[in-house]
Amino acid sequence: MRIPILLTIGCLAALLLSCAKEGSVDYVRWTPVLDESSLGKDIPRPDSYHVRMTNIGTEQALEFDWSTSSPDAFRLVPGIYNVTVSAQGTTGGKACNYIGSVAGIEIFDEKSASPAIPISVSISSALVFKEIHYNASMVTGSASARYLKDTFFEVYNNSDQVVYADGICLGDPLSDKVYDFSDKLEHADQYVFIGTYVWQIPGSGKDYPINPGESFVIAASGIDHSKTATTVDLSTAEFETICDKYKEKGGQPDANALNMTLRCTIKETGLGNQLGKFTDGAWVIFYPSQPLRKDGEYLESNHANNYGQEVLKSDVLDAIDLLKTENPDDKRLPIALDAGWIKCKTTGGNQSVVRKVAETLPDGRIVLQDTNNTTDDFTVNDTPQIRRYGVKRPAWSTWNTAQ
Amino acid sequence: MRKITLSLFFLSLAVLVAAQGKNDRAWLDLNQTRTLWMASGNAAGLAVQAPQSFNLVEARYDREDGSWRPLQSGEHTANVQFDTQGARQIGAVRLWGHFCYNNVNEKESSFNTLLYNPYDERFLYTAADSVEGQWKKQSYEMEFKAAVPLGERLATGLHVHYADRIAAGQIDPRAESYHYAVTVKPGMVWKTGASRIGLNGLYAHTLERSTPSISNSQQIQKVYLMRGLGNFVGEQVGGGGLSTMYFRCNTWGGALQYGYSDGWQLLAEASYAYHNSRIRESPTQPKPHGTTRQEEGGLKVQALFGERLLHKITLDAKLIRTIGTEPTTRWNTATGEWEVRYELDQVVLKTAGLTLAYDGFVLDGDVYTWKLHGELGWEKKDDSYALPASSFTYGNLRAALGAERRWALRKGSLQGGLSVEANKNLSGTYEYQGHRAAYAPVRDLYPHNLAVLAADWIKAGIKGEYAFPVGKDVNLAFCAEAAWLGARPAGRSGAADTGNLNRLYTLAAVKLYF
Repeated sequence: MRIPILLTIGCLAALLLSCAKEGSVDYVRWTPVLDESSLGKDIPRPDSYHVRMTNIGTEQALEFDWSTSSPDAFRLVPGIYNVTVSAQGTTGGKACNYIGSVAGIEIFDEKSASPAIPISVSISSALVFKEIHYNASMVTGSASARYLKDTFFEVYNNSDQVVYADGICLGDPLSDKVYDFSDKLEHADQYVFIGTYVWQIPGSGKDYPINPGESFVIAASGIDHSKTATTVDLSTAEFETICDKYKEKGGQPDANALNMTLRCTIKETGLGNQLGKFTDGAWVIFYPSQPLRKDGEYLESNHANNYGQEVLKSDVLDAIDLLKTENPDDKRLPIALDAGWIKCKTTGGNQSVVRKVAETLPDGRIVLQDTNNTTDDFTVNDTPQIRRYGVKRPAWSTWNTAQ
Repeated sequence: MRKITLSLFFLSLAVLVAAQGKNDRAWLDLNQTRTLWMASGNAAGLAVQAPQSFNLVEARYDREDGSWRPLQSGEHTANVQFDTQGARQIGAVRLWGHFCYNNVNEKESSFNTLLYNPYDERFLYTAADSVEGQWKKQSYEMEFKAAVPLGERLATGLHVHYADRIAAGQIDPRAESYHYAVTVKPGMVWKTGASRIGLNGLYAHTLERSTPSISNSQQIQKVYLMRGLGNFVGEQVGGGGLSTMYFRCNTWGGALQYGYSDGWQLLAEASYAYHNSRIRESPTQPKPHGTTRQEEGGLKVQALFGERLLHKITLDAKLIRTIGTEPTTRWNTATGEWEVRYELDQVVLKTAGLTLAYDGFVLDGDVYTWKLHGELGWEKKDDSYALPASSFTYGNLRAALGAERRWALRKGSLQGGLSVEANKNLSGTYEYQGHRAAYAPVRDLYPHNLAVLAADWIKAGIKGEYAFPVGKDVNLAFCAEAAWLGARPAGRSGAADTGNLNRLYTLAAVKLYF
């Protein structure tokens, strides 16, 4: 009797353990669908695209080169993907950046229906953001006091032509997912809407030339901040966001840097001359082809008491989306202006975002990467620095000491 | 308050069941060895074979120091323990009770941000960080077994175990973890001639709630949300990052026993348990982090025979398989909740083990003069991750020998023992084909742990206990133990080059037998 019982027990245990199934997991094959209809007739279609896919579950980023003439399917782990496609080309001697992006494509099996990825094109600008420090720093010797006055934007001439900084504006666009102006403005989709201030570089048109390989710095305050905080010396910045209105408030001294003009106060923040947006925000530099509105005349959005100054997307020279999370739903800018985003530490983190170098020319001049995708083009740096990579100051920028 | 009440209940149960006995280590050891059903999952077995009444109260301090340890364990670990157990019969009811309190201080452990027990494979979807930190842990373990005969041939019994554990990390990123587990095992035994057939059920519910935090709000801490074999998703503690995590598990199972007693004893037990776990984040906006299904099967056969020379042979086999399911979630802005869009069985963790042990006793009345122990063990770990394909495996063969001698003194007794244990690694590999080979879980954690687990090692130990009477049928005993382990990693593929490793084990205890 004993042996049969033991055998029964053993068999029962083996049977129970064999009951549960191990799920089989396999790759799926997926082919992107592109919508190039918005390119128009005159823009040539690229022969191939660079496809970047990020699985939002595993955070795995995959990159492929994908030919439009003989499109292959990709082999993917099932999941939800953010997809960005890009390509470069030329038209009329100018560089074209093709870009398309869709967030959250569900690719679970080969029958999953995928939305078409709309492709847009932008012509490369000569002036691009090179480095931005926006997330503030800590007062020297303090574990808790944040220093909020050291924001700067460095703008670089990435072309082989002389350009002029005169009249260029800096502003912070509202999220196009949240704020809608379509009932206030015809063809509102052709604009971005600045939500706080528009600062403009003064000049008659040819006062501030920027040669190829030179950059200029727009500082919240052009002083040596390293005397107060563990941060950067901005006493050689070319421009600062100081104007009479804020000098009266006693926020900052008027340093050597040239004062920018506060063209629009759409929503006063009460932050003195500081640019604000220390944790996240979007920024554009643009050259307005249409007159800017006067204070009090801005368009009201679908959210009451939230106003915007419209700026044609075609006027935008460069744009960048700075997020506080990795969630693409927080993006403010349309894909056509910036297909990606980047994030730094929270307020006080003293980091900067820096554009990558694409190549160094024989004469030593660097060419920065500009694919209209901040995720690809920028990196986060722990030590903010102006004129990184040995970039030159403009000849007219001569002051060397702090005021 | 609930914890104190429960502690007092179990403590009083453990003490109340005490009665007179011979009262030293050898006597208690033999008393428990002779009752094979005590070690089974069926409490009803106490009705057919119960230990003689005993009671033991023990306070001990033990510590472990050294480099031979998985990274989730402390380089230095100290434990202050209070333990008491006892058995007796009250009327027709056989009772056994046990209460144990542990106060653990663990230093220089890492890759565990949240859990009391970071090795619990049911809760593999947890958070880890590479900061070497300190944990303070306390646990209250309370259990009892009760058995009642239902006539001549039938008996029923109940085994209840309750665990209440608290853990607190001491360095950012830190966490406070509260762990509760209750296990209930009702059982029946049927006697027929020299045979006994038993069947017991099992239900357990486990909940661990762990809240991560940072003390220095200026320094956000990065953590890894582990997915298995080094795969992870990045997260942070502080700044609106990782919220409270809930680890919840329901367990069902049971065991079937066959016993034989006719001059010699046999007990065979086949057991099975199915653990179904869910891991979620945040009480207000629950975010699924994964589910696991674990099956645990065991077969244990014990045989006891001999009179002046008592022999016990034990064969113990186990199989554990854990399947981890990863969800792909997205926030639904319309409903304001996380929804699972897709699930994948990505992880399969397998453990197999087989142990053959022999214990021999040279008897002298109710105690022994010599105890010999020999053991041969084999274990195999075979973990895999589906996409991208990764694996973590090792196999070991282990042998142990030990001898203990008891001397009867004019007043009391002295017992001393020596042991030696050796492990030969048979295989091992860690292969990772994902996209994060340069990150700490892949670069540091798994290679180090493979070096530790796939190592050849030898462990030598010595122990002694002196017991003397302090009253009628009451013995006080002082006990000390020490062991040293020296390990040489076998240099398996994917293992870290750690050099030789070692660990020192020490223990001091005061016991009261009555």
